Amino acid sequence: MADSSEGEEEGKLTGGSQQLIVDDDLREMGKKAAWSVSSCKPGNAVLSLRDDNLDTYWQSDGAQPHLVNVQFQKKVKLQLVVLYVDFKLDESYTPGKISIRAGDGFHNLKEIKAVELVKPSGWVHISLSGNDPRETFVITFMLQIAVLSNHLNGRDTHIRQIKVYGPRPNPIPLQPFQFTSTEFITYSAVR
Amino acid sequence: MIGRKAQSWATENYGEGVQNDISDDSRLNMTGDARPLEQEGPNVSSTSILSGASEILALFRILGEGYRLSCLYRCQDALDVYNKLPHKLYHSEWVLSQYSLEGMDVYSTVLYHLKEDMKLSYLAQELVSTDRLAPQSWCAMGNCYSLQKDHETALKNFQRAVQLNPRFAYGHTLCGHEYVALEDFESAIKSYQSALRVDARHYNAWYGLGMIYLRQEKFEFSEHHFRMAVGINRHSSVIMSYIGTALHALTRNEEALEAMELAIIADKKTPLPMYQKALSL
Repeated sequence: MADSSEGEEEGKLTGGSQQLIVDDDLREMGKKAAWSVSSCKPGNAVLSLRDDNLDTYWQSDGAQPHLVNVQFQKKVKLQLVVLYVDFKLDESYTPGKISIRAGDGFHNLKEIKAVELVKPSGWVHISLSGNDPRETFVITFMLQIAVLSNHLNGRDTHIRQIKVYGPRPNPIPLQPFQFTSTEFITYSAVR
Repeated sequence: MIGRKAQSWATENYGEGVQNDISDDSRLNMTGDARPLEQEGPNVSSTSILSGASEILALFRILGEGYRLSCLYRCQDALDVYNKLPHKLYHSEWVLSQYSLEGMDVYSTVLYHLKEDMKLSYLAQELVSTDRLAPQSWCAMGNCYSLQKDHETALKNFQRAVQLNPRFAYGHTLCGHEYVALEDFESAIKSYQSALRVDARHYNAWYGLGMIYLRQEKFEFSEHHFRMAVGINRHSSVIMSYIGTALHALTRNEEALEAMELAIIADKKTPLPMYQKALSL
């Protein structure tokens, strides 16, 4: 586990936004994935994580760490995970330490990000980008979001929504970056 | 299909055109008078028949030439030719349909390219409220969503257009473009192929296939499909410049440069081929 004390690796995230605001060059990838959880209370199953409803939540029912597995059919580029958690409603059920792992499958998951949430309320953004600009995204078959601990030493956890974002594919093949000027974009494709 | 339809219109309207020409100063009711005149050939002097026939043939020549040019996507030339027609014939449905009545799907794509989201959404609303059963309306709607990057909804709209008229080639192509945006290349290829089944001269679909193969790094395939597209529309500098990209990837550099040069000549405003050329130099 990350034992460095640097802010990037062991970042602390507070607050959260009420509106889900994400850059225009990202798109939601979660709908292409199969979602599963390590455990759940009946009626608060994995579906509650993806129903776009902030009033429902997934509640774990077992020993920590609580895991959310996101498995894709093919390798995908991922750049951002956004969670909706609410300390005001969920109190000791609110996740504290979160580890995000990536890999080809359950057998070779590696931690790529570890964060600690501090009394969050709203949408919390967890960027998967490394410090190097070449590592803006991870390319992976599987993502695992592990809740290592909760606030106030709570046992089970509540998460209300999870969104997973990746970069939009470049409309022009074989090109490492995207054009921005209208003129260039207009003249770069036939429709 | 379009060709066949157009032909039948051409002959239909032709009668009107002739009639207009002969009885230019008289009003309606001339149908009854004009027809017998022609049918009772023996009573009329042969010179007037001859001059009438050659006039008709001249008009046919203009219409044919205009249609040929518009099929080659030499739109400005086609318009110039149609302008030579007598005023009444020019305003007949068939001629106008060549570039305005049927073109709303294409117009919406123009707005899409120009990123005119306000105008586009207004157009889409307007079209859907005028004719909910026209595939063009749903194409405009789909383009609107596609511009907002909501590709799933855009796809649904285009599928609706195709459902309303499975012989509407552009609808299939637009479905293909949306599948590409969603990275579902297999379905995209199927869509483009159904577009080509309806109309083998629909160059946008050839282009779409070329783009997919370019993305999948199947460069020979890509070049072939781009060549088909350019064979139909010689004036597209964008396609020409992608041929250059494909050739460059195949390390056929001389040909690549040639293609990019052609692309720059085809349209001097386009930045893409100049950029590609600079890249490959």
